Amino acid sequence: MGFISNILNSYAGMYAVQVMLHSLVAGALAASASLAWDLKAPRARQRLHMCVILVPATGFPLYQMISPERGSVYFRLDALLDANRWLVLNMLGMVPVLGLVGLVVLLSTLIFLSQELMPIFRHMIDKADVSHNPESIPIRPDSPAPTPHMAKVRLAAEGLPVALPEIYAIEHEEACAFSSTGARPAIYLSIGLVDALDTDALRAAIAHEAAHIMRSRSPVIIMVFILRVLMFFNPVTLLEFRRMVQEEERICDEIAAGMTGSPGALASALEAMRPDTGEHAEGVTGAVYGIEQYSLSVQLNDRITWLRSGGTGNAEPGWAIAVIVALAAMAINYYVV
Amino acid sequence: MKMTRHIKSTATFALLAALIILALRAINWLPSAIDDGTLRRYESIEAVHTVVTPVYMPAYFPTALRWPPSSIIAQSNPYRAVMSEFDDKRTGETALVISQSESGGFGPPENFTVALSAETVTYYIGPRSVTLVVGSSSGGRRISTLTWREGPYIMKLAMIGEPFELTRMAESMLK
Repeated sequence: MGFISNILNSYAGMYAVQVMLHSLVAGALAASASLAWDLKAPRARQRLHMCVILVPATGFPLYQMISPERGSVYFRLDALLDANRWLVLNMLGMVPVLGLVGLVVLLSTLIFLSQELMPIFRHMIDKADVSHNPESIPIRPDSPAPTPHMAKVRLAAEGLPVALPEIYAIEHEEACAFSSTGARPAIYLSIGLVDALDTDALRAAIAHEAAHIMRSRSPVIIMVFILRVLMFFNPVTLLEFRRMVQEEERICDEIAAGMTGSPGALASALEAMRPDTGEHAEGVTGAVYGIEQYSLSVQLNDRITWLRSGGTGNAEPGWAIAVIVALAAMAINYYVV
Repeated sequence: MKMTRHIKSTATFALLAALIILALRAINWLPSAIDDGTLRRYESIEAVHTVVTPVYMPAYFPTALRWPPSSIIAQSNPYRAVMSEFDDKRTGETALVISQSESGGFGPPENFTVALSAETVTYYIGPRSVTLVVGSSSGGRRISTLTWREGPYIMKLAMIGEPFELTRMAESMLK
């Protein structure tokens, strides 16, 4: 127990434990703010999710700089919450709370590795494959369009009020669209999607992906992503980052609807890209896949419903509420050790 | 109308934040209801005996200091530890801290820790090797500390000022 106590009382141990607790508090405050101000605007909601990731990640080092005595026995005694009081307990005399926390950390890490880090690497490899795949032909305004698909994409891309990156058509029956960011951003559209959509819907899909590329350069989003990777062990960060990504999709829907003037067209594009929630592989893998696809379907349905209702009505409250939540979180978390 | 809505929303948020604080307090209190050995304050040395035994106290006690301790904290989980604070009769401020702990991580607060050592001496009192450190705390106060091992415990006596009374107390505990 002395060994575990030494780890918990080390700087790294205290950081890991407190950042998880601080995230929980910040998450509760963000949910409270969303309820109190009835926030519907995706940008406002995304800012709250960012707060839940940013504030706890930076809080502990700041607190320790201001007050190195924060880890002392006396501070802990008068704290709002002292994590060590729980971590040294054995529930029902058998199950160490510390062990349960360790299990949660392990699961978060595994989920991060399998569902976020590995797909990023796979996406980078696939992107390289696609770029060099002779069946994936870039559609450029100055080059001829040898196929009807490419001509359709070029027609859809015309008239959008933004400078577009390279657009690739992928030989794939499933209707899908995605983009890659970085030094050479690009938009990828499957032939299945091009076939399934009319020009207006295709234009809306391209506008949505272009919005992703525009927003990927935001320094705040980049910083949040870096912190998310560094806090791979934190289950609250895992959840908040996913919710942030969901709001990002809605923000890009708003931008695309604004660019095209036709939210209904984007709704049609999303309907074509709805995942198949029918039969899938058996076993654990199949069950996990099924749950993921169902979750994706529910999120898409929400977005389609909003777009079909006109895609308006989300008043933008600015940064004020996020700042209030951040300050409240900083103040309360100082007393959570 | 808009201002009224904002005020109402702010009040709602403040109320929810207050509830979160209350929930944190409740969660913090629970372990002490489940396990008597969690860190807590005690009213007397006798009460501490329910979690830590024995509790080492000096037989010699300076007349300038107030007995009983003004503050006693103790725990038995994850390791046994006791810390007592004693006030100066004249100033009412804490002048002596006695800690007894199975771990080095539990000891006097920073203002009773020597940050800049002027003198460090190791010698024997009876069978025990004790280390005397005299210097200044981070706040610039003159602090004297005596440390030794007593069975499973690390004993620390920390006092404001010169070490004379400190060594007399330690001798009364060790001889």
